[in-house]
Amino acid sequence: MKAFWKKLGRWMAGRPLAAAGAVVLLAILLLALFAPALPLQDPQSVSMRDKLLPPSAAHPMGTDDLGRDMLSRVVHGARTSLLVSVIVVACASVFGMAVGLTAGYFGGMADELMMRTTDIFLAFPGLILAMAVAVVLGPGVVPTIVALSIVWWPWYARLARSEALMHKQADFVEAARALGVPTWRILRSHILPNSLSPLIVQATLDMGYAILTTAALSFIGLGVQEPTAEWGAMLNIGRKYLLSAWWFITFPGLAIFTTVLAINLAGDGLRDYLDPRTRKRGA
Amino acid sequence: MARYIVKRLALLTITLLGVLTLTFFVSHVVPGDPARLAAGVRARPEQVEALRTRLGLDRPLWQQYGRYIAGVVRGDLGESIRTRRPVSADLAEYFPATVELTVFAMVLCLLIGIPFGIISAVKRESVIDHVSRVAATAAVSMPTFWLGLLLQLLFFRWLQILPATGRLGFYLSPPAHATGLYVVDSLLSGNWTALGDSFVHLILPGAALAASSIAVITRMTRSSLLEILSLDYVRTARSKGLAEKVVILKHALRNALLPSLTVIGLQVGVLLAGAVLIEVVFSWPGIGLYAVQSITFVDFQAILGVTLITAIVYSGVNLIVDVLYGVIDPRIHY
Repeated sequence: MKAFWKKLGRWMAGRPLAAAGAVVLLAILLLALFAPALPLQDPQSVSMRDKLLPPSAAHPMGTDDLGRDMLSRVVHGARTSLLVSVIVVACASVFGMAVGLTAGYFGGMADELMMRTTDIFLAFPGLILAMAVAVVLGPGVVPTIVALSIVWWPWYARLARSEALMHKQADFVEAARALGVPTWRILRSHILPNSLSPLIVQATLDMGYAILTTAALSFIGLGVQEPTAEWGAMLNIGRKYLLSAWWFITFPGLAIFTTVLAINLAGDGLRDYLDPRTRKRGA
Repeated sequence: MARYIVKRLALLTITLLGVLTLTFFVSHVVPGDPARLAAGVRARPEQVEALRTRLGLDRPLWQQYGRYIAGVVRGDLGESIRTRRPVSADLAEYFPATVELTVFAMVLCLLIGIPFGIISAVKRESVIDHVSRVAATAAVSMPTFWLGLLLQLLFFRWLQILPATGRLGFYLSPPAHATGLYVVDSLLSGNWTALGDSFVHLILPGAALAASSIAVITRMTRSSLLEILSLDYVRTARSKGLAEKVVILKHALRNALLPSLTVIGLQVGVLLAGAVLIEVVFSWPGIGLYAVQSITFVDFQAILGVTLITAIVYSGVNLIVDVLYGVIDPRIHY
C-alpha cells in the first residue's frame, strides 16, 4: 500500500494539473468534513439588520437576503453537495454494475432486456428525467438522491456490460468455468475485479456531474430546499438580487465551479494512471 | 440501408413505448393520489372525486394505461392545472422559443468548436492548444446557469451593452407568426428591427448554453483529427506534395468529423437539458421555463409533456445522426 502511494505521488508530480486538482479536492473535503468545528458564524442565524451586506472583514463573502453569513453557508453547502453526489454515484454505480455485469455475462434474453431498458432511460436528457422524478418524489435530500440515481445507473450498466462481454471469453474465466466454479463466484472474483478500473474512473468523473445536476435541481426549485445551505438553492435566491448584490451569486457559483474543476482534473489524472492506453489519445 | 432504417425505427418505437410507460408510471402510480394532485391543494373532496371519474382514474390500472397511450398518440397530453389549457397547446406555444435557442447554440458550437479543434490539432502543444484545453476543462466544470448569471452581471449590469431577459425588447411586438422562431419570422416578413433585436437577445443565453458543448466538440474534433493525421493516406497525400491546407481541410477533416457527428448528436440532449436552466435565468419563454413554472403548482401533466417532447426530439436527432453516419461514410454497411 505504501509503495502504491509512493508510485502515485511520483506519477502525480509529473502532472501538475491533476495534482493540483487532487489537492484542492482534498482541501474541500476537509472543509466540508470539519465545517461545524471551524470558527464560522452559524449558517442559519438570521439577522435582518445585516441583510445583503457586501463582502467585508466581518463577512468575507457578504451576507444573503436574510443577513446570514455567505462564507459560512458556502462552506456548509459543500457538505450537502458532496454528500449527495457521493451517495448518488455509489448507488447508481453499484446497481448499474450488478445489472450490467450479469446481463453481459449471461447474454441472450437478459442482455436484450437490459439494453432495451437502458435505451428508455437514455432517451431522456439526464436533467429532464431527474426533474420529472424529483417533482413526483417531492423536495428534500433523499428524493434528490433517488432521482439522480435513477438517471445515472444505465450508464454504469452499459459500461459494466461491455466489460463483462470483454472478459467472459478470457482464458482464466474459461478455466474457472471448466473447474466448475459457481457462476456468481466467477462474476464476483473474476469478472468484477477486472472490470473495476473503467468503472472507478467513470464514477470519479461523474461526481462532478452529480454536483452540477444536484445544484441545477435545487436552482429550479426542486431538490434540496431552504434553509439547508446548498449551492444551487443559494443561486436560485441570489439571482433575484443580481442587480444589487453581485456577491450573492458569485461565491456559491465559484464554489461549484472550483469543486467540479478539481474533480475533473483529478479524475483525468486517475484515468491516465489506471489506464495508460488513454494517454496517447491526448484528449 | 433501408433495412437498417426500418430496424432503427422499430427500435425507436419500442423505446418510445417504454418512455411512455415510464412517464405513465411516474404520473399514475408513484404519487399517492393523482386526482388529488390534479385537483390542486385546495379542492374539496367531492371535487376530487368528480375529477377522478372525469380523468378515468377510478378504472383499473391497465385501462388507464391504455387510455394514456391512446391519448398521447392522438396528441392529447392532458390538461395543465396551472394554465387550464391542453398541455399540447401550451407546448406548441412555448416550443419554438426553445428550438430557436438550442439551434442558435448549436450553430455557435459548430462555428467555434470545429475551427478551434482543427487549430488545436494542427498546432499541437502550441499556446492555442493549451489555452483551448484549459478553457475546455473550465467550460465543462462550470454550471450552465451560473455562467448565464455571470454573463448577465457583466454585459447587462456592468457594461450595459446586451439585454438580459426575454426574446425582444418590450417596445417591440413579435414579427408576423410563421414558424415561431423570431429570427426566421422577422426575416420572412422583412422586419429588420425585430431581426436585429431578436438576434441581440439570443447572444447571452445562446453563449451560456453553448459553452460546455463548444468545449466538448473542440476536444473531440482535435483528438479525432490527430488520429486521422497519423494515418498512411495522409502521409501519402503529404508526400505527393499537396499543400498542408488541402491535406488537412480536404483529406483529413472529412474523416475526422465522423466521430464528432455522434458527439454532436449527444450534445443536443445536453443543450435541451441546459435550455431548461438558461430559460429560467434569461426569462426565455420556452418549454424549460414552462416546466419550471409548473413545478410550483405541482403541475404533473405539464412537466411530463415537456419530458416526453424532449425525449422524442432527442431520440429522433440521434436516429438521424446514426443514419447520416451511414450516408456519409461508405465504409459503413448496415
